Amino acid sequence: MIGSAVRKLGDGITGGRFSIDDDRLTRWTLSGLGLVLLIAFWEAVTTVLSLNPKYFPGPMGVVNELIRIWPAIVAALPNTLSAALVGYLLALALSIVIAIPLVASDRILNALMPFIIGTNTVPRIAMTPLVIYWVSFYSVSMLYLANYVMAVWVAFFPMLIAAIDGFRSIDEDTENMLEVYGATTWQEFKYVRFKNGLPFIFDGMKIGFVLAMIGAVVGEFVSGTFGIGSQAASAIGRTSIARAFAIVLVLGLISTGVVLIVYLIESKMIFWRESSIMGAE
Amino acid sequence: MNNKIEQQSRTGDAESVDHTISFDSVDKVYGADAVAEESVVALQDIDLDVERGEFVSVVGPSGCGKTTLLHMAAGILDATDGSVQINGVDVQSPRHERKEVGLVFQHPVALEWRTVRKNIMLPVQILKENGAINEDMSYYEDRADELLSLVGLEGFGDSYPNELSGGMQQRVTISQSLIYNPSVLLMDEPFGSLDAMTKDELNLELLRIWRETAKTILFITHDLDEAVFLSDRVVVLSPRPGEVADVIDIDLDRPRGEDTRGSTRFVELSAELHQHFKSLQ
Repeated sequence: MIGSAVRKLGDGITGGRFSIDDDRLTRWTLSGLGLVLLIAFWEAVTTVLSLNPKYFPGPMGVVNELIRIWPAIVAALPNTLSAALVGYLLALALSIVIAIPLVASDRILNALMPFIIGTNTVPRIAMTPLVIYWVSFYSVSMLYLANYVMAVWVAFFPMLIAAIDGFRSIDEDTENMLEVYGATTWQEFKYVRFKNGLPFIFDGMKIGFVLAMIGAVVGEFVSGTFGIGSQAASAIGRTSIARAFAIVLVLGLISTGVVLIVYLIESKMIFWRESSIMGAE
Repeated sequence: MNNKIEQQSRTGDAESVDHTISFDSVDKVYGADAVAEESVVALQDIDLDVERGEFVSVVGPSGCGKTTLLHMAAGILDATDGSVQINGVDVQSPRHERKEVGLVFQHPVALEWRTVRKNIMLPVQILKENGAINEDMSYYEDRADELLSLVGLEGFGDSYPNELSGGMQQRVTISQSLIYNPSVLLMDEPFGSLDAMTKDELNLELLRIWRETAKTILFITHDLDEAVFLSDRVVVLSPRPGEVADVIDIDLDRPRGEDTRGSTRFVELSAELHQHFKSLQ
Protein backbone atom coordinates (compact mmCIF):
# COMPACT_ATOMS: atom_id res chain seq x y z
CA MET A 1 0.00 0.00 0.00
CA ILE A 2 2.77 2.38 0.96
CA GLY A 3 4.67 1.22 -2.07
CA SER A 4 1.84 1.99 -4.43
CA ALA A 5 1.31 5.40 -2.84
CA VAL A 6 4.97 6.24 -3.26
CA ARG A 7 4.87 4.89 -6.76
CA LYS A 8 1.91 7.09 -7.66
CA LEU A 9 3.81 10.03 -6.26
CA GLY A 10 6.89 9.00 -8.22
CA ASP A 11 4.93 8.45 -11.41
CA GLY A 12 3.39 11.92 -10.94
CA ILE A 13 6.87 13.42 -10.85
CA THR A 14 8.56 11.27 -13.50
CA GLY A 15 5.51 10.78 -15.69
CA GLY A 16 5.71 7.01 -15.04
CA ARG A 17 8.92 6.56 -16.99
CA PHE A 18 10.60 4.58 -14.26
CA SER A 19 8.85 1.77 -12.57
CA ILE A 20 10.03 -0.32 -9.66
CA ASP A 21 7.87 -3.09 -8.35
CA ASP A 22 5.64 -2.17 -5.41
CA ASP A 23 7.10 -4.72 -3.09
CA ARG A 24 10.66 -3.48 -3.28
CA LEU A 25 9.60 0.15 -3.10
CA THR A 26 7.59 -0.57 0.04
CA ARG A 27 10.63 -2.14 1.64
CA TRP A 28 12.90 0.76 0.71
CA THR A 29 10.40 3.32 1.87
CA LEU A 30 9.93 1.61 5.22
CA SER A 31 13.68 1.21 5.70
CA GLY A 32 14.27 4.91 5.01
CA LEU A 33 11.43 5.86 7.30
CA GLY A 34 12.77 3.64 10.08
CA LEU A 35 16.21 5.20 9.84
CA VAL A 36 14.90 8.77 9.92
CA LEU A 37 12.68 7.99 12.92
CA LEU A 38 15.54 6.38 14.80
CA ILE A 39 17.84 9.37 14.28
CA ALA A 40 15.07 11.80 15.21
CA PHE A 41 14.39 9.78 18.38
CA TRP A 42 18.10 9.83 19.30
CA GLU A 43 18.32 13.60 18.81
CA ALA A 44 15.06 14.13 20.74
CA VAL A 45 16.19 12.02 23.71
CA THR A 46 19.51 13.86 24.06
CA THR A 47 17.76 17.24 23.78
CA VAL A 48 14.73 16.56 25.98
CA LEU A 49 16.76 14.93 28.74
CA SER A 50 19.43 17.62 28.18
CA LEU A 51 22.15 14.97 28.35
CA ASN A 52 25.76 16.10 28.56
CA PRO A 53 26.99 15.95 24.93
CA LYS A 54 30.44 15.04 26.21
CA TYR A 55 29.10 11.65 27.35
CA PHE A 56 25.91 11.24 25.31
CA PRO A 57 26.31 13.08 22.00
CA GLY A 58 23.31 13.50 19.70
CA PRO A 59 23.46 12.66 15.99
CA MET A 60 24.27 16.25 15.06
CA GLY A 61 27.19 16.29 17.45
CA VAL A 62 28.49 13.02 15.96
CA VAL A 63 28.24 14.34 12.40
CA ASN A 64 30.04 17.55 13.34
CA GLU A 65 32.80 15.57 15.02
CA LEU A 66 33.02 13.32 11.95
CA ILE A 67 33.56 16.30 9.68
CA ARG A 68 36.17 17.70 12.07
CA ILE A 69 38.24 14.51 12.33
CA TRP A 70 37.71 13.37 8.72
CA PRO A 71 41.38 13.83 7.70
CA ALA A 72 42.52 11.72 10.67
CA ILE A 73 40.04 9.00 9.75
CA VAL A 74 41.17 8.99 6.12
CA ALA A 75 44.77 8.63 7.31
CA ALA A 76 43.94 5.74 9.64
CA LEU A 77 41.59 3.81 7.34
CA PRO A 78 44.02 2.16 4.85
CA ASN A 79 45.76 0.09 7.54
CA THR A 80 42.50 -1.19 9.00
CA LEU A 81 40.81 -1.75 5.67
CA SER A 82 43.69 -3.67 4.19
CA ALA A 83 43.86 -5.94 7.27
CA ALA A 84 40.10 -6.53 7.08
CA LEU A 85 39.96 -7.00 3.31
CA VAL A 86 43.08 -9.12 2.89
CA GLY A 87 42.10 -11.20 5.90
CA TYR A 88 38.60 -11.58 4.48
CA LEU A 89 39.74 -12.73 1.03
CA LEU A 90 42.29 -15.07 2.55
CA ALA A 91 39.64 -16.59 4.84
CA LEU A 92 37.27 -16.94 1.89
CA ALA A 93 39.83 -18.70 -0.29
CA LEU A 94 40.86 -20.97 2.59
CA SER A 95 37.27 -21.83 3.45
CA ILE A 96 36.54 -23.00 -0.09
CA VAL A 97 39.81 -24.86 -0.60
CA ILE A 98 39.42 -26.67 2.74
CA ALA A 99 35.70 -27.38 2.31
CA ILE A 100 36.31 -29.39 -0.89
CA PRO A 101 38.21 -32.36 0.62
CA LEU A 102 35.93 -32.28 3.67
CA VAL A 103 32.82 -32.67 1.53
CA ALA A 104 34.52 -35.14 -0.81
CA SER A 105 35.36 -37.47 2.07
CA ASP A 106 32.84 -38.25 4.77
CA ARG A 107 35.61 -39.70 6.91
CA ILE A 108 37.67 -36.51 7.01
CA LEU A 109 34.52 -34.49 7.62
CA ASN A 110 33.38 -36.69 10.50
CA ALA A 111 36.85 -36.58 12.01
CA LEU A 112 37.12 -32.78 11.87
CA MET A 113 33.54 -31.63 12.36
CA PRO A 114 33.66 -31.52 16.21
CA PHE A 115 36.76 -29.32 15.98
CA ILE A 116 35.21 -27.02 13.36
CA ILE A 117 31.90 -26.63 15.17
CA GLY A 118 33.68 -26.22 18.49
CA THR A 119 36.03 -23.55 17.19
CA ASN A 120 33.15 -21.77 15.51
CA THR A 121 31.30 -21.66 18.82
CA VAL A 122 34.05 -20.26 21.04
CA PRO A 123 34.30 -16.45 21.20
CA ARG A 124 37.28 -16.32 18.87
CA ILE A 125 37.76 -12.63 19.55
CA ALA A 126 38.87 -13.57 23.08
CA MET A 127 42.03 -15.00 21.54
CA THR A 128 43.16 -11.51 20.44
CA PRO A 129 45.82 -10.97 23.15
CA LEU A 130 47.22 -14.43 22.50
CA VAL A 131 47.46 -13.83 18.75
CA ILE A 132 49.23 -10.53 19.37
CA TYR A 133 51.57 -12.20 21.83
CA TRP A 134 52.54 -14.83 19.26
CA VAL A 135 52.99 -12.35 16.43
CA SER A 136 55.19 -10.20 18.67
CA PHE A 137 57.44 -13.23 19.15
CA TYR A 138 57.82 -13.36 15.41
CA SER A 139 58.47 -9.68 14.90
CA VAL A 140 57.59 -6.69 17.07
CA SER A 141 58.05 -4.27 14.18
CA MET A 142 55.46 -6.19 12.19
CA LEU A 143 52.93 -6.32 14.99
CA TYR A 144 50.29 -5.04 12.56
CA LEU A 145 50.30 -8.55 11.06
CA ALA A 146 48.33 -9.59 14.13
CA ASN A 147 45.39 -7.60 12.76
CA TYR A 148 45.49 -9.61 9.52
CA VAL A 149 45.67 -12.84 11.49
CA MET A 150 42.72 -11.74 13.64
CA ALA A 151 40.65 -10.92 10.54
CA VAL A 152 41.28 -14.40 9.10
CA TRP A 153 40.81 -16.12 12.45
CA VAL A 154 37.45 -14.49 13.18
CA ALA A 155 36.01 -14.68 9.63
CA PHE A 156 37.22 -18.13 8.57
CA PHE A 157 35.08 -20.61 10.50
CA PRO A 158 31.59 -19.30 9.67
CA MET A 159 32.62 -19.12 6.01
CA LEU A 160 34.04 -22.65 6.16
CA ILE A 161 30.79 -23.95 7.61
CA ALA A 162 28.82 -22.07 4.94
CA ALA A 163 30.96 -23.63 2.20
CA ILE A 164 30.61 -27.12 3.67
CA ASP A 165 26.84 -26.74 3.98
CA GLY A 166 26.67 -25.34 0.47
CA PHE A 167 28.66 -28.11 -1.18
CA ARG A 168 26.68 -30.74 0.71
CA SER A 169 23.27 -29.30 -0.08
CA ILE A 170 22.49 -31.34 -3.20
CA ASP A 171 19.33 -33.40 -3.01
CA GLU A 172 19.28 -37.15 -3.00
CA ASP A 173 17.83 -37.50 -6.50
CA THR A 174 20.60 -35.37 -7.99
CA GLU A 175 23.19 -37.42 -6.11
CA ASN A 176 21.65 -40.64 -7.42
CA MET A 177 21.53 -39.22 -10.93
CA LEU A 178 25.25 -38.42 -10.79
CA GLU A 179 25.92 -41.93 -9.56
CA VAL A 180 23.98 -43.45 -12.46
CA TYR A 181 26.13 -41.48 -14.91
CA GLY A 182 29.23 -42.62 -13.05
CA ALA A 183 30.35 -39.07 -12.18
CA THR A 184 33.66 -38.82 -10.33
CA THR A 185 33.95 -36.75 -7.15
CA TRP A 186 35.57 -33.95 -9.10
CA GLN A 187 32.78 -34.04 -11.70
CA GLU A 188 30.24 -33.82 -8.89
CA PHE A 189 31.87 -30.59 -7.79
CA LYS A 190 32.43 -29.24 -11.26
CA TYR A 191 28.92 -29.83 -12.54
CA VAL A 192 26.78 -29.54 -9.41
CA ARG A 193 28.29 -28.80 -6.01
CA PHE A 194 30.11 -25.53 -6.79
CA LYS A 195 27.14 -23.81 -8.38
CA ASN A 196 24.69 -25.34 -5.96
CA GLY A 197 26.74 -24.11 -3.01
CA LEU A 198 26.98 -20.51 -4.22
CA PRO A 199 23.96 -19.15 -2.30
CA PHE A 200 25.41 -20.54 0.95
CA ILE A 201 28.88 -19.22 0.15
CA PHE A 202 27.53 -15.74 -0.56
CA ASP A 203 25.59 -15.77 2.70
CA GLY A 204 28.83 -16.70 4.43
CA MET A 205 30.63 -13.88 2.60
CA LYS A 206 28.16 -11.30 3.90
CA ILE A 207 28.76 -12.30 7.52
CA GLY A 208 32.42 -12.92 6.76
CA PHE A 209 33.34 -9.35 5.92
CA VAL A 210 31.66 -7.96 9.02
CA LEU A 211 33.57 -10.50 11.11
CA ALA A 212 36.89 -9.75 9.39
CA MET A 213 36.33 -6.07 10.16
CA ILE A 214 35.65 -6.87 13.82
CA GLY A 215 38.81 -8.99 13.93
CA ALA A 216 40.98 -6.25 12.42
CA VAL A 217 39.52 -3.48 14.60
CA VAL A 218 39.76 -5.44 17.84
CA GLY A 219 43.29 -6.44 16.84
CA GLU A 220 44.14 -2.73 16.70
CA PHE A 221 42.33 -2.06 19.98
CA VAL A 222 44.61 -4.48 21.72
CA SER A 223 47.88 -4.13 19.78
CA GLY A 224 47.68 -0.36 19.49
CA THR A 225 49.07 -0.44 15.95
CA PHE A 226 48.06 2.56 13.89
CA GLY A 227 44.61 2.29 12.36
CA ILE A 228 41.01 3.25 12.89
CA GLY A 229 40.56 0.70 15.65
CA SER A 230 43.35 2.16 17.77
CA GLN A 231 41.95 5.66 17.03
CA ALA A 232 38.59 4.56 18.44
CA ALA A 233 40.27 3.04 21.49
CA SER A 234 42.20 6.22 22.21
CA ALA A 235 39.08 8.35 21.63
CA ILE A 236 37.25 6.39 24.30
CA GLY A 237 40.31 6.60 26.54
CA ARG A 238 40.16 10.37 26.30
CA THR A 239 36.34 10.35 26.73
CA SER A 240 35.79 11.78 23.24
CA ILE A 241 32.56 9.86 22.92
CA ALA A 242 31.41 11.77 19.83
CA ARG A 243 34.65 10.80 18.13
CA ALA A 244 34.20 7.13 19.03
CA PHE A 245 30.66 7.27 17.64
CA ALA A 246 31.92 8.94 14.46
CA ILE A 247 34.50 6.19 13.95
CA VAL A 248 31.96 3.43 14.58
CA LEU A 249 29.65 5.14 12.08
CA VAL A 250 32.36 5.10 9.42
CA LEU A 251 33.12 1.43 10.08
CA GLY A 252 29.42 0.59 9.89
CA LEU A 253 29.03 2.40 6.58
CA ILE A 254 32.06 0.62 5.11
CA SER A 255 30.79 -2.79 6.19
CA THR A 256 27.36 -2.03 4.82
CA GLY A 257 28.93 -0.93 1.54
CA VAL A 258 30.92 -4.15 1.21
CA VAL A 259 27.91 -6.31 2.09
CA LEU A 260 25.95 -4.42 -0.56
CA ILE A 261 28.67 -5.07 -3.16
CA VAL A 262 28.68 -8.78 -2.26
CA TYR A 263 24.91 -8.78 -2.59
CA LEU A 264 25.09 -7.16 -6.03
CA ILE A 265 27.67 -9.67 -7.25
CA GLU A 266 25.50 -12.45 -5.85
CA SER A 267 22.38 -11.23 -7.65
CA LYS A 268 24.36 -11.16 -10.89
CA MET A 269 25.95 -14.56 -10.44
CA ILE A 270 22.98 -16.43 -9.00
CA PHE A 271 20.42 -15.43 -11.57
CA TRP A 272 18.26 -18.47 -10.92
CA ARG A 273 17.00 -17.46 -7.50
CA GLU A 274 16.42 -14.34 -5.47
CA SER A 275 19.28 -13.25 -3.25
CA SER A 276 18.91 -11.97 0.29
CA ILE A 277 20.92 -9.02 1.52
CA MET A 278 21.17 -10.49 4.99
CA GLY A 279 23.30 -13.58 5.33
CA ALA A 280 22.08 -16.20 7.78
CA GLU A 281 24.25 -16.70 10.83
CA MET B 1 13.23 -36.47 -37.73
CA ASN B 2 13.65 -39.18 -35.13
CA ASN B 3 15.37 -41.59 -37.45
CA LYS B 4 18.69 -41.36 -35.74
CA ILE B 5 17.22 -42.17 -32.37
CA GLU B 6 15.33 -45.13 -33.75
CA GLN B 7 18.15 -46.59 -35.80
CA GLN B 8 20.65 -46.35 -33.01
CA SER B 9 18.58 -48.31 -30.58
CA ARG B 10 17.81 -50.97 -33.18
CA THR B 11 21.44 -51.52 -34.10
CA GLY B 12 22.33 -51.54 -30.40
CA ASP B 13 20.51 -54.85 -30.16
CA ALA B 14 23.25 -56.74 -32.02
CA GLU B 15 24.48 -59.17 -29.34
CA SER B 16 21.09 -60.33 -28.33
CA VAL B 17 20.35 -61.40 -24.77
CA ASP B 18 16.85 -62.54 -23.99
CA HIS B 19 16.33 -60.60 -20.81
CA THR B 20 17.32 -56.97 -20.73
CA ILE B 21 16.65 -56.52 -17.03
CA SER B 22 16.82 -59.54 -14.82
CA PHE B 23 16.38 -59.94 -11.06
CA ASP B 24 17.52 -63.35 -9.90
CA SER B 25 16.29 -64.29 -6.37
CA VAL B 26 17.12 -60.86 -5.10
CA ASP B 27 16.86 -59.97 -1.43
CA LYS B 28 17.41 -56.52 -0.02
CA VAL B 29 17.84 -56.19 3.71
CA TYR B 30 18.48 -52.79 5.23
CA GLY B 31 20.81 -52.80 8.19
CA ALA B 32 21.90 -56.38 7.51
CA ASP B 33 25.57 -55.56 7.87
CA ALA B 34 25.06 -53.46 11.00
CA VAL B 35 25.35 -54.79 14.51
CA ALA B 36 21.87 -53.47 15.37
CA GLU B 37 19.07 -56.02 15.63
CA GLU B 38 16.75 -53.83 13.65
CA SER B 39 17.35 -55.08 10.14
CA VAL B 40 14.45 -54.54 7.76
CA VAL B 41 13.76 -56.93 4.92
CA ALA B 42 12.73 -54.58 2.12
CA LEU B 43 12.55 -57.10 -0.71
CA GLN B 44 12.53 -60.87 -0.60
CA ASP B 45 13.21 -63.41 -3.29
CA ILE B 46 12.47 -61.21 -6.28
CA ASP B 47 12.55 -63.01 -9.61
CA LEU B 48 11.70 -60.75 -12.48
CA ASP B 49 12.77 -60.72 -16.09
CA VAL B 50 11.97 -57.88 -18.42
CA GLU B 51 12.36 -58.70 -22.10
CA ARG B 52 13.90 -56.45 -24.69
CA GLY B 53 11.51 -53.72 -25.71
CA GLU B 54 9.00 -54.64 -23.03
CA PHE B 55 7.14 -52.12 -20.88
CA VAL B 56 6.75 -53.45 -17.35
CA SER B 57 5.21 -51.58 -14.45
CA VAL B 58 5.67 -52.33 -10.77
CA VAL B 59 2.86 -51.39 -8.39
CA GLY B 60 2.51 -51.93 -4.69
CA PRO B 61 1.49 -50.25 -1.46
CA SER B 62 3.83 -47.51 -0.25
CA GLY B 63 6.86 -48.86 1.55
CA CYS B 64 6.84 -52.15 -0.34
CA GLY B 65 10.24 -51.51 -1.84
CA LYS B 66 9.33 -50.38 -5.36
CA THR B 67 11.96 -47.65 -5.41
CA THR B 68 14.52 -49.97 -3.81
CA LEU B 69 13.91 -52.38 -6.67
CA LEU B 70 14.52 -49.67 -9.23
CA HIS B 71 17.60 -48.32 -7.46
CA MET B 72 19.09 -51.80 -7.49
CA ALA B 73 18.55 -52.01 -11.25
CA ALA B 74 20.22 -48.59 -11.56
CA GLY B 75 23.21 -49.78 -9.56
CA ILE B 76 22.63 -47.18 -6.85
CA LEU B 77 21.91 -49.89 -4.28
CA ASP B 78 23.52 -53.30 -3.85
CA ALA B 79 21.39 -56.40 -3.58
CA THR B 80 21.92 -58.17 -0.25
CA ASP B 81 21.53 -61.52 -1.97
CA GLY B 82 20.97 -62.65 -5.55
CA SER B 83 21.92 -60.66 -8.61
CA VAL B 84 20.55 -57.90 -10.78
CA GLN B 85 21.64 -57.93 -14.40
CA ILE B 86 21.28 -55.53 -17.27
CA ASN B 87 21.89 -57.06 -20.70
CA GLY B 88 23.36 -60.12 -19.00
CA VAL B 89 25.92 -58.18 -16.96
CA ASP B 90 25.69 -57.75 -13.20
CA VAL B 91 25.07 -54.06 -12.49
CA GLN B 92 27.71 -54.08 -9.75
CA SER B 93 30.40 -55.52 -12.01
CA PRO B 94 32.90 -53.19 -13.66
CA ARG B 95 31.81 -54.54 -17.04
CA HIS B 96 28.38 -53.00 -16.55
CA GLU B 97 27.89 -50.22 -19.08
CA ARG B 98 26.42 -47.11 -17.50
CA LYS B 99 25.33 -45.79 -20.84
CA GLU B 100 22.87 -48.67 -21.12
CA VAL B 101 20.71 -47.35 -18.29
CA GLY B 102 18.66 -44.16 -18.06
CA LEU B 103 16.92 -43.16 -14.84
CA VAL B 104 13.96 -40.81 -14.44
CA PHE B 105 13.07 -39.70 -10.91
CA GLN B 106 9.79 -38.67 -9.38
CA HIS B 107 10.93 -35.06 -9.17
CA PRO B 108 12.70 -33.28 -11.99
CA VAL B 109 16.43 -33.02 -11.30
CA ALA B 110 17.16 -30.30 -13.84
CA LEU B 111 19.96 -28.01 -12.60
CA GLU B 112 18.63 -24.48 -12.21
CA TRP B 113 21.67 -22.71 -13.64
CA ARG B 114 21.77 -24.70 -16.85
CA THR B 115 19.55 -24.11 -19.83
CA VAL B 116 17.24 -26.92 -20.88
CA ARG B 117 19.64 -27.94 -23.65
CA LYS B 118 22.64 -27.93 -21.33
CA ASN B 119 20.73 -29.97 -18.78
CA ILE B 120 19.96 -32.54 -21.44
CA MET B 121 23.64 -32.61 -22.40
CA LEU B 122 24.90 -33.10 -18.81
CA PRO B 123 25.03 -36.93 -18.80
CA VAL B 124 26.83 -36.91 -22.13
CA GLN B 125 29.47 -34.49 -20.84
CA ILE B 126 30.12 -36.72 -17.84
CA LEU B 127 30.10 -39.99 -19.79
CA LYS B 128 32.32 -38.51 -22.50
CA GLU B 129 34.88 -37.20 -19.99
CA ASN B 130 35.03 -40.66 -18.47
CA GLY B 131 35.43 -42.35 -21.84
CA ALA B 132 32.13 -44.23 -21.52
CA ILE B 133 30.88 -43.04 -24.92
CA ASN B 134 32.72 -42.47 -28.17
CA GLU B 135 30.59 -40.29 -30.44
CA ASP B 136 31.48 -36.62 -30.93
CA MET B 137 29.74 -33.97 -28.89
CA SER B 138 28.28 -32.53 -32.09
CA TYR B 139 26.46 -35.82 -32.62
CA TYR B 140 24.81 -35.43 -29.23
CA GLU B 141 24.06 -31.78 -29.80
CA ASP B 142 22.03 -32.78 -32.86
CA ARG B 143 20.44 -35.49 -30.78
CA ALA B 144 19.49 -32.98 -28.09
CA ASP B 145 17.61 -30.99 -30.72
CA GLU B 146 15.83 -34.12 -31.89
CA LEU B 147 14.89 -35.02 -28.33
CA LEU B 148 13.56 -31.53 -27.67
CA SER B 149 11.11 -31.99 -30.50
CA LEU B 150 10.45 -35.61 -29.53
CA VAL B 151 9.25 -34.55 -26.07
CA GLY B 152 7.49 -31.43 -27.35
CA LEU B 153 9.93 -28.82 -26.02
CA GLU B 154 10.87 -27.23 -29.34
CA GLY B 155 11.90 -23.64 -28.81
CA PHE B 156 12.62 -24.15 -25.09
CA GLY B 157 16.24 -25.25 -25.48
CA ASP B 158 17.59 -21.96 -24.19
CA SER B 159 15.07 -21.55 -21.37
CA TYR B 160 15.98 -22.17 -17.75
CA PRO B 161 14.17 -24.86 -15.74
CA ASN B 162 12.44 -22.38 -13.43
CA GLU B 163 10.78 -20.85 -16.47
CA LEU B 164 9.05 -24.18 -17.17
CA SER B 165 6.04 -25.88 -15.61
CA GLY B 166 6.45 -29.10 -13.61
CA GLY B 167 5.29 -31.18 -16.57
CA MET B 168 7.76 -29.50 -18.90
CA GLN B 169 10.59 -29.97 -16.40
CA GLN B 170 9.78 -33.66 -16.27
CA ARG B 171 10.05 -33.77 -20.07
CA VAL B 172 13.53 -32.28 -19.69
CA THR B 173 14.45 -35.06 -17.26
CA ILE B 174 13.12 -37.66 -19.68
CA SER B 175 15.17 -36.17 -22.52
CA GLN B 176 18.19 -36.14 -20.24
CA SER B 177 17.84 -39.86 -19.63
CA LEU B 178 17.44 -40.51 -23.36
CA ILE B 179 20.31 -38.39 -24.68
CA TYR B 180 22.96 -41.12 -24.50
CA ASN B 181 20.51 -43.62 -25.92
CA PRO B 182 20.35 -46.21 -23.13
CA SER B 183 18.60 -49.45 -24.02
CA VAL B 184 16.92 -49.50 -20.61
CA LEU B 185 14.83 -46.77 -19.06
CA LEU B 186 14.09 -46.95 -15.33
CA MET B 187 11.30 -44.63 -14.23
CA ASP B 188 10.41 -43.96 -10.59
CA GLU B 189 6.87 -42.54 -10.45
CA PRO B 190 7.91 -39.94 -13.01
CA PHE B 191 4.46 -38.42 -13.26
CA GLY B 192 3.46 -38.85 -9.61
CA SER B 193 3.69 -35.18 -8.74
CA LEU B 194 1.84 -33.87 -11.79
CA ASP B 195 -1.82 -32.95 -12.12
CA ALA B 196 -4.15 -35.49 -13.74
CA MET B 197 -4.35 -33.78 -17.13
CA THR B 198 -0.61 -33.32 -17.55
CA LYS B 199 -0.12 -36.88 -16.39
CA ASP B 200 -2.47 -38.30 -19.06
CA GLU B 201 -0.78 -36.19 -21.69
CA LEU B 202 2.69 -37.35 -20.67
CA ASN B 203 1.50 -40.96 -20.53
CA LEU B 204 0.53 -40.73 -24.19
CA GLU B 205 3.83 -39.10 -25.01
CA LEU B 206 5.80 -41.71 -23.12
CA LEU B 207 4.09 -44.45 -25.15
CA ARG B 208 4.92 -42.62 -28.34
CA ILE B 209 8.58 -42.18 -27.31
CA TRP B 210 8.75 -45.83 -26.28
CA ARG B 211 7.35 -46.88 -29.65
CA GLU B 212 9.72 -44.64 -31.57
CA THR B 213 12.87 -45.50 -29.62
CA ALA B 214 12.18 -49.16 -28.76
CA LYS B 215 13.43 -48.91 -25.17
CA THR B 216 12.94 -51.46 -22.45
CA ILE B 217 11.09 -49.69 -19.67
CA LEU B 218 10.73 -50.57 -15.99
CA PHE B 219 8.16 -48.18 -14.58
CA ILE B 220 7.27 -47.66 -10.92
CA THR B 221 3.90 -46.17 -10.07
CA HIS B 222 1.24 -46.20 -7.37
CA ASP B 223 -1.45 -45.35 -9.92
CA LEU B 224 -3.00 -48.67 -11.00
CA ASP B 225 -4.83 -47.23 -14.02
CA GLU B 226 -1.63 -45.65 -15.25
CA ALA B 227 0.09 -49.03 -14.94
CA VAL B 228 -2.63 -50.77 -16.95
CA PHE B 229 -2.68 -48.07 -19.59
CA LEU B 230 1.07 -48.12 -20.22
CA SER B 231 2.29 -51.65 -19.66
CA ASP B 232 2.70 -55.03 -21.29
CA ARG B 233 2.83 -56.55 -17.83
CA VAL B 234 2.09 -55.24 -14.36
CA VAL B 235 4.00 -56.65 -11.40
CA VAL B 236 2.23 -56.40 -8.04
CA LEU B 237 4.49 -56.29 -4.99
CA SER B 238 3.22 -57.29 -1.56
CA PRO B 239 4.04 -55.08 1.43
CA ARG B 240 6.86 -55.77 3.89
CA PRO B 241 8.71 -57.75 2.88
CA GLY B 242 8.20 -56.89 -0.77
CA GLU B 243 7.59 -60.02 -2.78
CA VAL B 244 6.17 -60.52 -6.24
CA ALA B 245 2.54 -61.24 -5.41
CA ASP B 246 1.16 -61.23 -8.95
CA VAL B 247 2.08 -60.56 -12.53
CA ILE B 248 -0.78 -59.48 -14.77
CA ASP B 249 -0.54 -59.52 -18.55
CA ILE B 250 -2.08 -56.49 -20.15
CA ASP B 251 -3.40 -57.62 -23.53
CA LEU B 252 -4.75 -54.27 -24.67
CA ASP B 253 -4.12 -53.45 -28.34
CA ARG B 254 -1.32 -51.08 -29.26
CA PRO B 255 -0.91 -48.33 -30.11
CA ARG B 256 -2.99 -47.16 -27.19
CA GLY B 257 -4.67 -43.79 -27.19
CA GLU B 258 -7.32 -41.66 -25.55
CA ASP B 259 -10.05 -44.20 -26.27
CA THR B 260 -8.13 -47.09 -24.67
CA ARG B 261 -9.19 -45.94 -21.21
CA GLY B 262 -12.82 -46.17 -22.23
CA SER B 263 -12.59 -49.72 -23.62
CA THR B 264 -14.29 -52.62 -21.84
CA ARG B 265 -11.02 -54.56 -21.60
CA PHE B 266 -9.26 -51.64 -19.92
CA VAL B 267 -12.02 -51.42 -17.33
CA GLU B 268 -11.87 -55.18 -16.73
CA LEU B 269 -8.09 -55.23 -16.32
CA SER B 270 -8.15 -52.21 -14.10
CA ALA B 271 -10.83 -53.84 -11.91
CA GLU B 272 -8.80 -57.04 -11.77
CA LEU B 273 -5.70 -55.15 -10.70
CA HIS B 274 -7.58 -53.21 -8.05
CA GLN B 275 -8.93 -56.54 -6.78
CA HIS B 276 -5.43 -58.05 -6.53
CA PHE B 277 -4.26 -54.95 -4.82
CA LYS B 278 -7.04 -54.99 -2.25
CA SER B 279 -6.38 -58.62 -1.39
CA LEU B 280 -2.86 -57.63 -0.31
CA GLN B 281 -4.00 -55.32 2.43
